[in-house]
Amino acid sequence: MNHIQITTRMGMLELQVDARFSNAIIIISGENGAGKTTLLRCLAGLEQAEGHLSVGGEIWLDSIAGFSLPPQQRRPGCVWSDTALLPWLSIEKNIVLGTDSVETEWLAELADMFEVKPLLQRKPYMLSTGEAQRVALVRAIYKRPSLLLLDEPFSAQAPAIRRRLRLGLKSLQGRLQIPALMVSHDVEDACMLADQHWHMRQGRLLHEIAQAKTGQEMLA
Amino acid sequence: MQQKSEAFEKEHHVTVRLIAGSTGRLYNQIMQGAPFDLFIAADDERPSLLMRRHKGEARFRIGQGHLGVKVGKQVISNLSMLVNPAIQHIAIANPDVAPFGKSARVVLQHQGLWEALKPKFVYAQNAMQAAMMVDQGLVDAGFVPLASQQHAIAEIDYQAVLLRDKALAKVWLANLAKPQQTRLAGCSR
Amino acid sequence: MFEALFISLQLALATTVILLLIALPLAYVLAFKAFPGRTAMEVVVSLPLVLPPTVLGYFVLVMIAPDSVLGGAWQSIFDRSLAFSFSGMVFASVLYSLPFAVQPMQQALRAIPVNWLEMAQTQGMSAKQTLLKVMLPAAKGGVLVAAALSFAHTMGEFGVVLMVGGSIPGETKVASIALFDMVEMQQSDQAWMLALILLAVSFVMLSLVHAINQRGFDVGAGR
Repeated sequence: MNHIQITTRMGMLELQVDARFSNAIIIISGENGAGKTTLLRCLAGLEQAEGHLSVGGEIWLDSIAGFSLPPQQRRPGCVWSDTALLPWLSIEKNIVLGTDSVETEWLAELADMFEVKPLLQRKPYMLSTGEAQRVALVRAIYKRPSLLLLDEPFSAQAPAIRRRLRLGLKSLQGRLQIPALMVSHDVEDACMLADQHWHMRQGRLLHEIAQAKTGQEMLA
Repeated sequence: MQQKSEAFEKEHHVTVRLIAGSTGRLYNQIMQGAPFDLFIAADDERPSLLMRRHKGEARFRIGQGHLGVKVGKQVISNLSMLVNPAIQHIAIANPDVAPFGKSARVVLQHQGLWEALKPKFVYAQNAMQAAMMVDQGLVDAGFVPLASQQHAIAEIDYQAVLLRDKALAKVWLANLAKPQQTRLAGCSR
Repeated sequence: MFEALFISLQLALATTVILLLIALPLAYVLAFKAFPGRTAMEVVVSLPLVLPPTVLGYFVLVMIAPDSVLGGAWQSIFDRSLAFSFSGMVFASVLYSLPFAVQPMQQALRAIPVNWLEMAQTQGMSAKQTLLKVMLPAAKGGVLVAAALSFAHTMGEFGVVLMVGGSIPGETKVASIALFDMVEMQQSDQAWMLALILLAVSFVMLSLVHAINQRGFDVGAGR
């Protein structure tokens, strides 16, 4: 079981989240400014927060003990609206950035699954927005993180490809057995992927609806 | 010279502007038409060149400068003392450019010390700068201008060239120069 | 003449190499770290931009004179004077060209998108890895500009080296001083030639700077 119990302040926003979740896919929805991205950034360690955080049996944050694991050690798999691909590296180099050795088979499998195989030797400027977003997704998963933080990861994808990407993500999450927090406004994302659904308003979770059954019914 | 100019200014109700610079640089400026009335140099070459190139009205010898050697605060006259390894750096005005430096080189070459001392030399743009280096303790010794003939190792003739036929300039020159002022030959146009 | 030119080139090269090593950490600290005295540090680094070279040269000369702390220490270690030596001149040039090296690097480092640095963090890259694999490649243009400017600025230096070096032929008499003396000695043919060579070196270095800036802009636009 993973546990989030954090508070933080970002300008007008006062984020206050308390939730437990299993190694499942959690879809987070809510209006602009509700604090969805801020929540993910706090989990990544990119924003300071007070409280407690444990993921995969590891404590990431315990502000009472004055402890906060830096992002370098949390190593979450992230997809943000800005893909942050380094322009001087090939796509393949971008994906394996920060890892020690290249796992060729694993890379090939992911590249295949998320349809970036023909892009591997290209440079970022040659890619469309949608392609760059898929590369960012592969980069997030390739390093086998213990938490996936996906901020509208399919926003730039055409509907047909979106469906295939969802299937890929679902099966990988099942294999890796890690929690994935995914911000999305897409009803289909919620139906097909969500094991849980959080709705945020003004920095708080309104309700936690177990969506596992509905999701599985839709898939079937 | 500063004091003499101030007295002259009061007496004649004019402004005297003194422009200090190296002989070579001032010579270049005059050749390029700088509006100077009088040129004073511790040098024979540039004044005679000016006369030859018809830039001067008349040339005078107006006095002497005294070249001496200082080790720290001490003025010495025995140049072989400079060979002492305790003396690492000796300031000298650039002998290719500055008259005091040129004069120092002549004396040292004459005494056979030039080559031995050469590795110790630090070159200043002029003798005053060399003196500054010694006074500030930046170098151990230096060839500097002295106030009197005592302890001098060489004398340098100061020459003046009247660049424009201006009455006041002549008066100023007469005022500045010692009685022994001599007009040098080959000076008129 | 070529001896002086050769010394100028050696001086510019030594100064540039040392400056890159010193200016990079300085630029890094100034670009990213907040600490008391940061502004003071920035002012000190840019001081040589406005200080008359002879003033700086005089300060340095007093600082490295044999009876000073630094000059004395050097003397006891290397058994030779730091003042009026090539090393002393390198020391002075490094100080004099410091802003020309620090400022382009600082700007280039500051221009790195925050997203890239955060990406490096969440990818688990250490500070050293981030520096080598993200920051330096991203700031490459700034580093090259810093090197070219330091080199060109040192080649053209006059007042500082005049004060500190003592224009010793074969050791500290650089091209700009040789040129000055040539003019004083009315050797206009040689002076012309040397001036043209110095002009050409400056022209090439500045063209390089502009080429780098242009290319940096194109990469940014293509992204």
